[in-house]
Amino acid sequence: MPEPNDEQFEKYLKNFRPVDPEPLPVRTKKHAGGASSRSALAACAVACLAAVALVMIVLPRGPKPDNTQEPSAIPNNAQHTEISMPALTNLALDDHAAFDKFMTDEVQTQFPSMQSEQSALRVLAQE
Amino acid sequence: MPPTDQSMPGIEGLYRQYGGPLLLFAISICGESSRAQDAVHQVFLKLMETDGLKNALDTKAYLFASVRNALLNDQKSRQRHVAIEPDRLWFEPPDRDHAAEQNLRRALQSLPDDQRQVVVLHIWGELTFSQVAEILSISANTAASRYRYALAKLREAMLVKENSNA
Repeated sequence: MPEPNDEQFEKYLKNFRPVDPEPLPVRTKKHAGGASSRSALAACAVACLAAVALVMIVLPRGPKPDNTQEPSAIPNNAQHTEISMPALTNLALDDHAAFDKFMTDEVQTQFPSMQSEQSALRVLAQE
Repeated sequence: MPPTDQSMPGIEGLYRQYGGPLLLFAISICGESSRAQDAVHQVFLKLMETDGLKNALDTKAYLFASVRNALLNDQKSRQRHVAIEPDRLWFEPPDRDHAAEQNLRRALQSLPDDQRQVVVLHIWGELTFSQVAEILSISANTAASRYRYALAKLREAMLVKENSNA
């Protein structure tokens, strides 16, 4: 190597780039807004739970209401089908027609019939 | 020199921009990579907590001075001198010339501490002699003088090494 002058030698030295340090051992400020994102997630989870609870209320799994005093328009062979919530969700997403049919059947088994002349709902609706 | 970080996105950007030279400067003071790394981290973590750069007129010089102070405080608490590690890489060499990197590292290690720090601050920290002088609490003339001596020794050490390898 020929003897360089100061300027050349400085340039040569600058070709060597100092090794970078390891990343800082904390999450940087860019990610520090975790509190607000956690709140949003929590709110989302609460909303989902509320929606599930609402669906559970509309579609109770308990014993069927006693329809013996009201003549029912439901055929005797209509069976109340138990279906889990994930399966119901899948049905809603995958097969709209089947889902609609299921929901219609479910409503007819869960609520008093409006077909009968004596139906309280029918009377109330007329009023 | 005016602050150079105006376009950088905060502390993280400064860390990316100056992390390498700051680490090298820290190694040139304490000689130990892990301690140097700790000192650089300590400075930046503190800055994140306190937003301490608000009042700094010269951000870059402030960072180098902070790293130096952190190491000096640490050295006081340890009350001992640690020898420079011989085999840790200090640089990413051009063209993967690791022999040249080792040659430069050894030449830097052979310099007196005060001269080594001036060289590192001026060449890789890209600080002016006025800034170097402020960081090291010396005059600008002293900084320039130490730099000239150091550069001459460095060149001599590297040439001798290269010639002995040839």
